[in-house]
Amino acid sequence: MKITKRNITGLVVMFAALQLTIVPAQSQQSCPELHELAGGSLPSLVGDVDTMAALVAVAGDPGIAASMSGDKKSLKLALNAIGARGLKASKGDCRFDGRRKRTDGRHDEEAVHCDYEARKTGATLSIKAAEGRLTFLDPTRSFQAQSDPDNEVTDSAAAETIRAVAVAFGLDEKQLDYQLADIARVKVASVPVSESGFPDTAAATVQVAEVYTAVPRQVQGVGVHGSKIQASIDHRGQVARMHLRWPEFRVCEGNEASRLGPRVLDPSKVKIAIAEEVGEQWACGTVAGLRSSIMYVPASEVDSPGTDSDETVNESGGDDEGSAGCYVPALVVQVTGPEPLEDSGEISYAGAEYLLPLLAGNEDPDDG
Amino acid sequence: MRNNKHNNTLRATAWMVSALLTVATAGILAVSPAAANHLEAKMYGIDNWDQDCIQNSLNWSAQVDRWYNEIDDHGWYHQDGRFVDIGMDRSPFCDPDAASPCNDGWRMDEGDAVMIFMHGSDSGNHWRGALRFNGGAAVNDCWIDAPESGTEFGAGAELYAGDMDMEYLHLSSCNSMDDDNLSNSWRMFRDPIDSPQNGRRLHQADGFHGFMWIGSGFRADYEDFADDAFSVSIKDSWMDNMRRSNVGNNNDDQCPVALAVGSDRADCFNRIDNERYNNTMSDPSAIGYYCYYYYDGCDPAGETPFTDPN
Repeated sequence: MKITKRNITGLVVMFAALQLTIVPAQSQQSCPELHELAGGSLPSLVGDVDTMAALVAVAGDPGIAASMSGDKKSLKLALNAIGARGLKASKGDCRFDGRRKRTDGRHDEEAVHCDYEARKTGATLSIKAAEGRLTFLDPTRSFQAQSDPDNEVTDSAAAETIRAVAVAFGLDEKQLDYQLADIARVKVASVPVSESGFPDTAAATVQVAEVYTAVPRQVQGVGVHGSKIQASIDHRGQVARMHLRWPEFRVCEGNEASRLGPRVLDPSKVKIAIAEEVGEQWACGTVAGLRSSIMYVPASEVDSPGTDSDETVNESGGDDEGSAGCYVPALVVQVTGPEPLEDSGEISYAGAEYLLPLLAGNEDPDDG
Repeated sequence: MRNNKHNNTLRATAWMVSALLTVATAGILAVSPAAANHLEAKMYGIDNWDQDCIQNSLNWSAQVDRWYNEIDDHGWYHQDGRFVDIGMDRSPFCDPDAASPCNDGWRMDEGDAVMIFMHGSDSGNHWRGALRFNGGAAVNDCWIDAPESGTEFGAGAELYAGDMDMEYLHLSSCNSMDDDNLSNSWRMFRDPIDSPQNGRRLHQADGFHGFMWIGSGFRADYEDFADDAFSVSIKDSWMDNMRRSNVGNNNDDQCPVALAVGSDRADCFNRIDNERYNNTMSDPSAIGYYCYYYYDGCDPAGETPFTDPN
């Protein structure tokens, strides 16, 4: 063939067209095992319009914003449940979103952040009601290995304690996912050692310090990502420390069930999205385990298509700063690498979690 | 006359500027981070293993940033260095008594509270971290190795902390506190050559048994760890905030471990139970005991369930 300017132009156009079709195909097929893992992990309900419609139609829940927003009576009852006494907020330590006066003259505040402290014990209570976060820490209840007896609190007693506390703090008990509750014992060991030599493990001691209890949140049987109640229980059966992440739950506006159909992502697209997202960071052959599950995830944390892996809409990492925002059903993908043999010196890749959309265009409308 | 007047004006202006500068300087000193927040927080680690030492890359710094951005909010620590990817060979981490060229005294060990983040490994009876650069052909080392029995005094161990300044070392890294390595972990709390001379030792190290996790859902844990550690012990804060269950395809745990040393048993317990970021004791005068907190039976990926090695 005689090469002319016209032919070259034609070849360039053909080459460009091939690039457009070949490049994505290569990126999708470059690691078949990753595609296989991604496909195998997909919950069968991904892509099911009726399921997605049911997921977005669930009722909202105020979380702790309702019970912990300036209502002193509710707070007092809740603090009684954990035996917290003497907690006081210094002037200026409680910052409010609004200070609307009610007809009875009291403030109808929506507390953004309140810090309380008990001067006698050093116990602290931090409430960020709008974010659904509450932290109680009492250092006088922390285990003192030198003097405290073994913790003999049973699993059932620990479970009952956290249930009672959850109810006292105004949580909807139906949302406590006891099937995934985590009850574990914290132990402390001590071993004598010669600084230039070896430990005397025969003289080691072990004590049971605390019982850790955590219960994740669910709404209508679907987990709420990042939301849980967690308490460390001391040897007297008291709550030594508590972390409550229980923000207002509502599905983002614009996700009405009746208009959802075209936005529900097809399983094959979700599978490709998993493979691409994971494949950006994990070399082919390095993924040994992959789990996908449907959860409600804060819209601001769902990886937007086209962004770098593990970068959320809010790149500053401030995913839970300020308002907790609204939720969307999303796919939580957890990836692990191969497990090296004991002592082998082979690399251990940290497990990684990715939050992928199940609906097209699910950006948080609150983020503007 | 005119010149004199001009000179007088200049002198007056100079005096005023000098006075203003003095006042301003005093003001700056009064609110200087170094004075108000006299302790140093540093973070060292890797997001991208794309240079001499190739590994999978992860957005790790995003969650360590949350620790780094919280720890300076309490009036005790200031941010003294955020080192991500750049210069991540072994030099900032290794002790010059152990290998060469090493510079931990002016880098990692110069901080008071330091978090290291990188892929890890269970090598023999110690943790080692995966570096980004090998340090050049003469060094050619893609790992920073903590000590174990038999590797000290130039026989392979590289990481010794606390013999310059550091009190608290947080290892955001897999296998950094594996159960079967704890009988050696205390060794990185001192430089076997310098510490007996200068009396400086690390107070506490925190890490993980088995695999740990990265992701946007884990970032708040790092912020809460830094926040809580001003109200309760660093150990309590680490153990509370880093515990996870039901992660990965085998419903694995994430298993934090906190380890301290002391001159005797009571000293070790007193330190690990009561040292907070705002309550730091003097350096341990010797290492006569080590003590550690763990979750019994904690079952992570990459390791068998935690079993006390004693």
